[in-house]
Amino acid sequence: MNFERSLDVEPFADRRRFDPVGGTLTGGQCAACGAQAWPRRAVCHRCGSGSIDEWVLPDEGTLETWSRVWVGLPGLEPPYQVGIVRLGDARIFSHVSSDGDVATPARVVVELEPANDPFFRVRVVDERGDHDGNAGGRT
Amino acid sequence: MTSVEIAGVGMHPFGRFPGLGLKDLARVAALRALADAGIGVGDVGAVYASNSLGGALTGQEQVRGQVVVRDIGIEGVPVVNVENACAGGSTALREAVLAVRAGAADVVLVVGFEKMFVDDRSATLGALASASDLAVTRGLGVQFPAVYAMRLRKRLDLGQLELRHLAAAAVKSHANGARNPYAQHRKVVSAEEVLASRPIAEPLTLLMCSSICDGAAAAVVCRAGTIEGTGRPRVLVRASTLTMGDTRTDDSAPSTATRCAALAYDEAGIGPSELDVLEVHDAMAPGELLYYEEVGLCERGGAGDFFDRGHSSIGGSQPVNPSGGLSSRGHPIGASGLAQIAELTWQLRGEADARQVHGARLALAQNSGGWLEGEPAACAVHILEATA
Repeated sequence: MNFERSLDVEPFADRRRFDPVGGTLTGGQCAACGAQAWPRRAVCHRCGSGSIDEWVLPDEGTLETWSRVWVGLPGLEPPYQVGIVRLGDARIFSHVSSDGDVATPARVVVELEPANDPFFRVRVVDERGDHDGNAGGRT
Repeated sequence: MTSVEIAGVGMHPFGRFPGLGLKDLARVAALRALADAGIGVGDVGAVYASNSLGGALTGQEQVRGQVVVRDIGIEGVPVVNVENACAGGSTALREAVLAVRAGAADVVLVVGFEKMFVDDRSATLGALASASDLAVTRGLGVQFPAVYAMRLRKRLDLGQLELRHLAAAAVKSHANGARNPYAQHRKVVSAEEVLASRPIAEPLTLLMCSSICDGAAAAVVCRAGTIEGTGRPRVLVRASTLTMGDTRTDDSAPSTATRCAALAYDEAGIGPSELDVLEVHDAMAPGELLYYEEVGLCERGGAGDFFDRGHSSIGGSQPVNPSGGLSSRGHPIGASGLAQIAELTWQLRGEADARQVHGARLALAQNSGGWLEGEPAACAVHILEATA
């Protein structure tokens, strides 16, 4: 196995996690087996290849599940909503905006907020979205 | 393969103990385990010490195991500090089992201790939230209750569980905890009280969740036969497995706990239907419903029915969490895995008093730690067997 690219990959903190121009999250896709991950990893979790290319995540996906949290943390006033969203093959934790309760799976769009931390959230646009997570966005 | 025995167990009660520090909690659990095994501190050949939050919350970093055992006269032996989030206790046990199997030591003390009640409650919550990859979770507030809440909501939305199951699991947890003198929460509650308690992470309410807790638990592990028997049943370690969660893109693949349990069943040469009693990782009481399926007590989607039939209650066919589980016994996180082992050892010896599962011979402990996207970061399974 050749790990030259993995050895030379930019430091984790410097790997691009979103594209403010395109309005999308950016992760990694294995050039050998196609496995996708966000954030981009140095070596493929599925096949062990060290050849990972940048991958532009779809800007729509599926909210698989969520919770409204009533226990605050510093900087987080309760209640706030967190969820697990599937964008392409990547499962990602995210804050969730919705009008009230959401029946899952639900279709969501990614909203970048580069000035904030966290720098993105997902907004529910349609309940009972595509359960396969291939909800039409750019891939 | 060398046969490994749990020769003794001990606990410091779980709860809130102002004025007691890590040394005090660990001392009581460790000395009780040594006394239970009938040995002295000079008999200990190695120590595996589990603590997860002490560095972040007390500033005592790096050598917490050595720091606590020197108060009980243990020096001059290998001491390994183990940290694996909520699975630290079971991970330490596994390391001890491997050390005995390898012939590196004949008698090993394993002790887990945690002090979560500190002056600043938000410091504890923040430390707990760090049981994840902060590169993806920082600032999100994905707290433990929310992780369980999301797993359970998925089942509610699929129609595989109902809210009443979540409440009933908490009722069972409290009822068992009420029978356990070591438990933090010893009050019987009703389903109505559970559902009316304040929301923590929807659909979970306060009475479904474990809380901040101090405590310690310990076990003496030895090469079978090293320590003279006392006439009571011997408890053998039939399997000891540990794994890491994986990146999954759908829910049809075996879960982390399912993979870890399958390795354990293979090692022990038994199947899940042979188990007499289990302790599983229910940091939120309804979480045990998911583990019925994941460790193979029932089919996927069958947890509600398994519960409704009373199988998992004390007196049922395969009681789960007779101790009250993490949710009611308490969850001082680095100690919980060893508290499971203490409970199962008592059960297998017939010493569990009001919560005794009669005739238990085979027991399974499952302990999870931290989380990746939807899956635990760490998972350990142990299978114990009582022999004459």
